[in-house]
Amino acid sequence: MQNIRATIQKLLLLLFFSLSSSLIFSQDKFGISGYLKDSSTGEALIGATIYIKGTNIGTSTNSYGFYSLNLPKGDYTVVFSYISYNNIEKEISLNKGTQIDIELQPESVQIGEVVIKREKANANVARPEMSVVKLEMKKIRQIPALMGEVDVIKAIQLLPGVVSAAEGSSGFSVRGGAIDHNLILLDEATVYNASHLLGFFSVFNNDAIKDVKLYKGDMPASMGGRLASVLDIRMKEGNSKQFAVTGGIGTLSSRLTLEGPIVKDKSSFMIAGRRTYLDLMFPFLSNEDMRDNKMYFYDLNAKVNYTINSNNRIFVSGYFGRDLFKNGMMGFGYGNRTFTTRWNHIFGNSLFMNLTLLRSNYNYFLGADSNDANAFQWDSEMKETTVKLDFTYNANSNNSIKFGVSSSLLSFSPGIVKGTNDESFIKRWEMPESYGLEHAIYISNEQKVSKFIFKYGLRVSAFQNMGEAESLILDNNYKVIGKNSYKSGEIYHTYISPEPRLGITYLINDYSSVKTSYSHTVQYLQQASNSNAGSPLDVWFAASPNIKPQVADQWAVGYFRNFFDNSLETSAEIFYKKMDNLIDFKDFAQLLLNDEIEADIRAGKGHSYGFELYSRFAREKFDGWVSYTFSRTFRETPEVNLGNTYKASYDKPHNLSVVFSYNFNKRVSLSANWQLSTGKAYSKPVARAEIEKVIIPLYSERNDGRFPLYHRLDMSLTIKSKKNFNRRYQGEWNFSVINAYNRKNPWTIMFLQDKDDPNKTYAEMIYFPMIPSFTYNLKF
Amino acid sequence: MKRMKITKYIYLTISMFAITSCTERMSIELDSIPPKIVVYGSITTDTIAHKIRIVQTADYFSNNPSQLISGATLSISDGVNVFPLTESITEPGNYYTQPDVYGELGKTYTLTAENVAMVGDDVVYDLTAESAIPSLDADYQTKYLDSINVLYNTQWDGWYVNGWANEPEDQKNFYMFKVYINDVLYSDSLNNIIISDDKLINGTSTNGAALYFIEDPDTLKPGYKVTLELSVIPEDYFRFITEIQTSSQPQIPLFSAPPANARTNLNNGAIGYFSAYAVIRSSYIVKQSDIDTKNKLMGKKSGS
Repeated sequence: MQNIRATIQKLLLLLFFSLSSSLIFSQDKFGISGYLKDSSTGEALIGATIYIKGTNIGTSTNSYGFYSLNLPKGDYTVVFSYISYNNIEKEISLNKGTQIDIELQPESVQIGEVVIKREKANANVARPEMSVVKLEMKKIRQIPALMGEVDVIKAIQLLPGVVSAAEGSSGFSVRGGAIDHNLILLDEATVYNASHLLGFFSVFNNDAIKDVKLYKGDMPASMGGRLASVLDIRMKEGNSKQFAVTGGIGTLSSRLTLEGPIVKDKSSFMIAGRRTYLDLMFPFLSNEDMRDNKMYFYDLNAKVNYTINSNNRIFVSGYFGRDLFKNGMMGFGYGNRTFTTRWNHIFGNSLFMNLTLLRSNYNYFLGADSNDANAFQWDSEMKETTVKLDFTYNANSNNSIKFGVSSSLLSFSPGIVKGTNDESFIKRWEMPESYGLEHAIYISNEQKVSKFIFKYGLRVSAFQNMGEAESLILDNNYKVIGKNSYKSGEIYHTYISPEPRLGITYLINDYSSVKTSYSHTVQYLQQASNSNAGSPLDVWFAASPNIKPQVADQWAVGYFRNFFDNSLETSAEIFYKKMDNLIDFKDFAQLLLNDEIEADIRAGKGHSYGFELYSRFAREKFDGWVSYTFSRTFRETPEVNLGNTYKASYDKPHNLSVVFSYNFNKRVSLSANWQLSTGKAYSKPVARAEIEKVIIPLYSERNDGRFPLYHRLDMSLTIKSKKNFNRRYQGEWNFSVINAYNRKNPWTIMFLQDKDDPNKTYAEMIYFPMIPSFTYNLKF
Repeated sequence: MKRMKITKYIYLTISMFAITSCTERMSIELDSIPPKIVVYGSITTDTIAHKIRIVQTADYFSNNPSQLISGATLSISDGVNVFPLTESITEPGNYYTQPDVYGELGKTYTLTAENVAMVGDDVVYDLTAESAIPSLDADYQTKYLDSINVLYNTQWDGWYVNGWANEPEDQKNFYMFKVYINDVLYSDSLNNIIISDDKLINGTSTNGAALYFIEDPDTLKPGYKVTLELSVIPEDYFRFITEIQTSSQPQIPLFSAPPANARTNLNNGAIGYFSAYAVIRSSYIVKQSDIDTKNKLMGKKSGS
């Protein structure tokens, strides 16, 4: 503890000196600030670029579309630009703080008089961040989707460094991390289980989403709590110009989104819903048992915002989704709820504040609903309540300082099982509830020094276990030898971890740069899961006296270069990641309803390394990307695999993704993506033993085998209705086919005993064949 | 019992989605390892000839009956008495005690197997394993299990064996359930025995909850005798069965942990298990009304 404090003090001092040295010399400066919006919908544009023509002075908009720049007195030409939007240039004479709000026109909109010419910014080269990928919703919608359900998470699995946890799964591994090493945020609230239908679909309804950004390692100091990545998803604010309806009827589900102004240009709302309807057919089935079956998922996104004045804005948003499976006897349901309230306030022209209050909840139940002794219900729930305060201070054109604090209260009720009638043979059994507090304070600066941009920051995070609780006492052999009891509200254990972040960008010229970054990340919450893809039943649990926080150090170097007027972006990155205190479980650990789970945890080490090549192109007729990743990832855990190093199941050395869209004309477009990768690692049996008529496979080494080579082609064709200028109505047919040439890629390989000939054993795979689907989308 | 239901339920939900998935047998090249000795058997509180079986492992795709190991010298000892086992002439590899042997509550039993020689391996092994019958109250034969009956279930298409049993609150117990139909063992494989700990049911009465499930809908006829065997087993043996059952389940990416080798209480590189446990039974004669109820439920299900 003493050591940590000293380190934090040193780091803070260092930071203070570098900050003050950069601020002291500030001269007479004035701020330009404002919001960038889409001219047709009024949606704030996130990550849009603002720069002074003829210089490398510039900035970008934050998650609320806000930007600010501090410049000496003078005349400037300010360029406002955003991908797929027409640029706007504005001449200004700066002699006082100025607010300029800009509305950019999407490219497809007819060319008007204010538009200069399409000139794409070199943001990917010049921005001092690496290992970050941003996907526009427009692009995500073009990617062929399983059953026509456009899925953000499936799209990011096509990006370099991201590997799907299993065929068709919405779980993913980033640069060798585990599934629960990814922080998934929806309007800043954590989504603890991002899956629908046991993971084949994600909880994000594409009609409600505006912006998706994945941080693969160079995590900003403002973010933390997970080792591998942050997937930052922002909901639409709602069209502030006019009322609009977006909808779709698909093979699996139907969607409807309503949005519009409440008070024009001041306040708008968005509400989006989607529900599957396979089970609506059940009542017509001849089998009476099936008629009562239920199987569906739905989700609902809603958001309202209100602009009080140019310095104050309020946003309230929420997500509510649920999956339910039910037959005449058993029921199983799970779902997330998130609720976010935000207040943006601007002090002067250059200090931006955001106060966030959020709540997040994940719960599931499993039960037998009979009227006899077998009836029971099992409930599990976790809750998070967080307060966050974030500031961005654009001190001058060379320094952008971010700082803030956050504090969360977490409560876990991993399992309560109770009988649901008087006859029930289960009375009531509870896993002990537990509570934790997670805090963070951070400060970071982006500092331009000639051709260099330094990004340095420190996040200090802390986790506290809070009573009422019973904490297990374990001996060196992980045996429970006693329990410590703590009173309600009593803080009985604290971890404090400094998390330094560092990045250097060197701009070689306007179209190429070299970047390097280092980040140290700490994770206090993890999922009790020992399967590949994870299941909705996996509960989250916190660091404790017995479970040290997981830590990771990541180093990365990259070269970024754009060609052809920035219409071809390329990058190459190399990374090395070292992980410690990784959560693994002893063999055959029982993770469900285990009140002594801490005794089954084996903390291990891991490392991964690799390189990623990425090239993204955009032309009028076609666009897409090609990504190739080479990466390896290994684990070493006491008692697992005899303590020897083994390949993680996400270890797929070669990964190639090609994503391509071609527009035949304004109405017809074709998209395709093709993936080729090494098969995932799995354990192969080396012998069999027969015990009491059961043949069991015996293994020698964990993950010593590989699935066959994986490759898959997905395609989709979109045909838009003729544009009718009298009506706003626009329809669109989408035909998609997943696994177009019906490659048999195993989802799993099973080693089984033949039921008819018990002496016979065989290997069998489950795979997903070609799956076609169609969707009709509408907009007016 | 609960565990069975949850797993079954999970497979059911997967199968609901699996309408879009396909299965196909595939050929895979696997490595081999030298064979290992597999020992399995028990001593219980029953007065019978207790059996120990010794076989050896084979390549995973060997597809032949297990190679039995004959000619070993076996005995079970409680520290004072030694019960020798003799190899059956008709079933080589199966070794039996005398029929008057029984285990006693709370006693620790040691199995010794000497001169165990595998085919294809020149070394001769001596093995031992130890297991203790749980300490129960002296009236355990009547205390735990009152009575049972059977009830047809249309959702699973089979018979529930319902039990009225009492779980003592002051002990941490582990149970194994087997069923006999007309005194013939129905639960003849490790995959169709049911095991349960008392975590969720500690100190409760089961009130006729389903303790066992007979999958075959047509097995039971009026007048048939159904016997439920409730065994109180050591915790380690409970874990062994859990691990064997897990190992024989297919790997499903959503739920399956990385595969591993099940525990054993044998030494010198052998695998398998020697167990000692207490047995309690209760029987029920299937009534015509049970079959009538089944037919009524089936008729309702097929929908008129």
